[in-house]
Amino acid sequence: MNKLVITLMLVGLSFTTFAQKSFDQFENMKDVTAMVMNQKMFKLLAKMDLDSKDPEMKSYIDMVNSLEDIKVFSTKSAYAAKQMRGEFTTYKTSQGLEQLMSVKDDGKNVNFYYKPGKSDDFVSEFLMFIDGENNNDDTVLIKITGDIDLKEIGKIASSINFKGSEELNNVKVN
Amino acid sequence: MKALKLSLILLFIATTISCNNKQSLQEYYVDSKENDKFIMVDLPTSLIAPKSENLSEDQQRVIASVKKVNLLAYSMKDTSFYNSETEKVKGILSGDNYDELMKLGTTEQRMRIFIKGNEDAIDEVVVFAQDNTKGFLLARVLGDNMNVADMVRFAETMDTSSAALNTGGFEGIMDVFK
Repeated sequence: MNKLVITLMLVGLSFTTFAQKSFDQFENMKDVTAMVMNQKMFKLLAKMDLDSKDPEMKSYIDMVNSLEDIKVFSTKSAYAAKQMRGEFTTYKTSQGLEQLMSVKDDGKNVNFYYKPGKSDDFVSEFLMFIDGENNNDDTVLIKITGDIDLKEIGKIASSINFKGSEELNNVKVN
Repeated sequence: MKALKLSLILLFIATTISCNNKQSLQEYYVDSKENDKFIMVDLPTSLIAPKSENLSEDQQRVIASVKKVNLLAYSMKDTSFYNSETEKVKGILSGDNYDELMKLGTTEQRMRIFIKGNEDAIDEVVVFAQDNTKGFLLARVLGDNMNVADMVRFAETMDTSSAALNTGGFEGIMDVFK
């Protein structure tokens, strides 16, 4: 039994390190503000309020519990923004992500991409890119992996409280 | 029960021995103690939360799960020393079974949180904050099977206002980097 768990963990570990590589460079890039939250963090957050009776809270906990990681990168530097745009384009093509929607908000171009999950409402990966180059605004990239309920994604926005994350509230499910 | 205890002790010995190969965070603390460049604070829990008969058994158990709090700070004086020390700490934290919970910030100013142990039974929480102009801070909470949910519940019983610790404290951290 223990062996099985260890093997599974190792498999999971190698899988995550592989999947993480694409945006890791931004974690240590000058002028880029990064926030990375890992699965352990979500498991902990979800455990904090286990006996909550509130259904709203319950669905929030379920959602947090199903997340694997969240990465947020934001920059004002033109160089870093260019790198981010390039990496975003390469990544969405190589991973075969599908476009969910794109919004023009306040002069900013906001793009949402996803990787299909277990059903129409659930995605296994969610990518948001705000291109801020034209109006000297922040360029923001948010990548969420896990078992994500698109209807709940606005809630992630309110809990991560990061510049640009409010755009997640614009996600609509048809 | 006896077998369980024995195996736990064996496991403990095994981990202690295996840690000796390279510097552990504990050794880093001990080594740095001699160095006056650092500011060090050691707080045993008996100081933070004195034993009281008014507490329920559950509450006492939660307090007992936390053993001590260690703080190590370096106020920026020498950049090369700062760089070598932060590299050392990063190296220790990337190995030695620490799980990174989150990191936040830029290359100049960054905070990282790590835990050691299972998420239900944490043995160590490490917060590593660095600022390339001001210095760095390494805070460590040592315990034995610490349970975050228990602690939050405990905090709620102690003082209703600290219920905000649940998510409010978390948001506070985020605000720093806004």
